[in-house]
Amino acid sequence: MTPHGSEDYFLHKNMHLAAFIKQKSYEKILYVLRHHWITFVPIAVLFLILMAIPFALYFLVSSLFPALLENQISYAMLVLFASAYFLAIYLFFFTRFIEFYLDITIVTNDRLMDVEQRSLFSRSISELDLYRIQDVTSDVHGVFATFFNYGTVSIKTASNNINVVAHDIPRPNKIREALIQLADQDRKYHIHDATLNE
Amino acid sequence: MIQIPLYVFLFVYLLFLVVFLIFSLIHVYHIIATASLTLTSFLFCFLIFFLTIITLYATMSLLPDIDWKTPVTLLDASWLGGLFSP
Repeated sequence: MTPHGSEDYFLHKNMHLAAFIKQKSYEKILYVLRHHWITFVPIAVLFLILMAIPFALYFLVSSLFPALLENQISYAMLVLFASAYFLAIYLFFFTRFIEFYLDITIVTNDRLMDVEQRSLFSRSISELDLYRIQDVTSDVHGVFATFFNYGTVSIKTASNNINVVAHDIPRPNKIREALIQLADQDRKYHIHDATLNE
Repeated sequence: MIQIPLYVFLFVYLLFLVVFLIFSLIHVYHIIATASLTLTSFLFCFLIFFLTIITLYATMSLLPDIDWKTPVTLLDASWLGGLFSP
């Protein structure tokens, strides 16, 4: 996702992101990386299958046990249960979307911020200065990943244990190259800090 | 004989609706709090909202003539009567 992408244009226009990362005056957001959309397809397919189950059960019950639908009590309970089932699926789908979409890696010209939405009530945010980056590895693994060009980018630092892993992001090789380039550029401004860390 | 009125199930359903609403609002809060209110997340929220409205409307239209005071038998002694007889 480059800053010139349509969605990122929408994001860059959104000042909330700048407020979220507490953007410094000299800082520019360069990349906002999220999971590739294709990795959400299995969840969407599962959602469609779960949505189809009540309809299949309805045809089964109406042909095998029609009395259940004629009885007022069982009919009302079945409708309420089906309604609750559908709502539970929507909630499940929404939760999975949140976990998928709120995993963000933000790259600026100064630092890298990784927001990991582990579950609904569990989020970790890690941040590292670009000049600390020592090693960036991109990993494209599998048929779909190769075809749709997504993969994992692992960022390692030399001085501490902060390692950031961005999973299933689009164009991992390009991001790796950009990160190395950005780290080199940032190191020029932090020669003293970089020497101290080494 | 243990009986409860049918509206008890309606209340349980309404309680579930409250839980659904709370969790949905938490999701929306997460989207806003992490500055992720983009076109994609907006469309997704709209889809969930649209599906919820359709489901609630369908539920209401399928249950118009129900007498919610109808007693529902949970346990009847006669169901157990034949269990221990030879």
